[in-house]
Amino acid sequence: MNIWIWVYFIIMVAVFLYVGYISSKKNKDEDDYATARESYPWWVIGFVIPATFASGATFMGSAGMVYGYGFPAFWYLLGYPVGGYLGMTFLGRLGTGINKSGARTIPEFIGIRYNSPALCVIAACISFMLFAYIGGQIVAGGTIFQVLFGIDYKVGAWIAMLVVLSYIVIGGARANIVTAAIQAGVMLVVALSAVAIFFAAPGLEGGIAELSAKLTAIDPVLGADSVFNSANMQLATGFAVAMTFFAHCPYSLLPHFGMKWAALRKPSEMPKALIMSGTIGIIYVVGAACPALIARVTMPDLPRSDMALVALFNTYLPDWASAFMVIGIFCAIMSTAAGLFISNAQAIANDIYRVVLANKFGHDLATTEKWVKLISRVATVLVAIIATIMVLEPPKYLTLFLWIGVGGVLSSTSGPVLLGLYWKGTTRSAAYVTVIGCFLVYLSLTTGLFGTRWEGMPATGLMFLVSLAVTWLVSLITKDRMSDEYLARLGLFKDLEQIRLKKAATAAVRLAAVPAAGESSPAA
Amino acid sequence: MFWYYMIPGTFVAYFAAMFILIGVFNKLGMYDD
Repeated sequence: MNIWIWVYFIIMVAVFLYVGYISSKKNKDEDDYATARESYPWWVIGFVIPATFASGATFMGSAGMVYGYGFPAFWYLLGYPVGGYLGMTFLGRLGTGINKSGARTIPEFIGIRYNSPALCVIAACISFMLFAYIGGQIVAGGTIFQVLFGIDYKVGAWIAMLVVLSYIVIGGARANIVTAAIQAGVMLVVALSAVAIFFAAPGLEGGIAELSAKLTAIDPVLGADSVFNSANMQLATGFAVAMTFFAHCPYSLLPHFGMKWAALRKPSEMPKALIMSGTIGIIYVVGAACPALIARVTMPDLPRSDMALVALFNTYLPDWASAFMVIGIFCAIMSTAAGLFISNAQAIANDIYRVVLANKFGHDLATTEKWVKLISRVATVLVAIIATIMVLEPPKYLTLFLWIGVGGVLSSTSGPVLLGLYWKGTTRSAAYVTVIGCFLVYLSLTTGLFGTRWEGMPATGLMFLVSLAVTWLVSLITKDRMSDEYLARLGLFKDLEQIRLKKAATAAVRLAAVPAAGESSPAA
Repeated sequence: MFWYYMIPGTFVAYFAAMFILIGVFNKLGMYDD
């Protein structure tokens, strides 16, 4: 047992608790707690986005995939960050939409964009299915504790949950963002160390060609000449590879993810934030994966393929350094889980209570904010506890449930949000048809209602494209688009913004022309 | 050596696409304050 792991772990928990405390002091109101709106510069968001994108699977899973399937694993390891970060160049604008509309969540933005609280509630209910995604992160946390810290899985799962909960419940979105930025830095050290090991450790002396030859000698499908690997469905065909790419294009629409763009200080800082996050994000995935190629050759008998990276760290780094790497892997889980705790709690506190129920109960602004505060804190704790209890015995269908949440959100909201950000002609009917229809079709595909049961990833990729097409087609044949005056208030469309400014200027000129009280007009 | 060229090629294409997309959006004023 490496004692350094516990030393770093205790320091990490202390730092994150301190960040949570400082964040709670900085939070001005409930809006700030939920969004940390326009609060952070591009370099912070440039760190936070890849940290949120990198989940429990990024480091151990990427390396494990390469260890198990050789070079063809790069279809997945290149396809998903390329799809995700290129998709962000379109969807980063969502942060501008959220801030200009005053929304606190993505479902609320959809409700405001189409002037329909009911749409907000439907989208919130679908996003609540990301509950299983939280479960997946806690399973990864518990497994890390079991395998690397040497303690019981169930105890590990509770510790992982409690660590994240402790700073999130007091600090909200600010604590999430600051801790994610710190975690991103640690994860970058892990990824760069993995790259260093790839080039420095024994196994690459004869270059890539010799490494490939050694892999081919183990199994011909592992080498650099092998285009696909039929042992894994995601790496078996061109269609599967294309669907991996498309499934990740709208990833910023996941509520714990897209809201990070709303925390960017100014939209003009977005290009720098996009480039930084896109660069760090691909370094995480590919950097962690490369040394697993040499691990397959030099350590062919590992009991678990996802232990490849940890085995390399333990072999080639001193104890204090390899312990730091383990903490880095744990950081990837925490950054994703923390965002999910907040977004699921906000689905209840904001999208259901504040947007709908507060009006029904006739609560005034002060009472509403008081209730939002109470509900969001209680909901965060409950979400965390229920998700942990759910995975103490990891359910057989956890992966299916996880993808129903992720794919359900992406399938249903891609069209209405993406087209709604760029095209004034998107109609409310199209949003309803897509949100409800595409979610049900996705559900049918993944549960096998149409005969063949689709895997979550290809089904999500396909439904992303279908979602865009359905929103576009239904918008063409329906009339209930939002008025220019309404859309101008959202500030998303430059021409409408100019119209709004021109009208405001004309009104100001008219006002100036009206004689002040007591002043005689020239005609009098 | 399919992957020998594919991995660096994807990196080049990825960053080229990213800079082009960001450049176009910037030109269209999508990132204006």
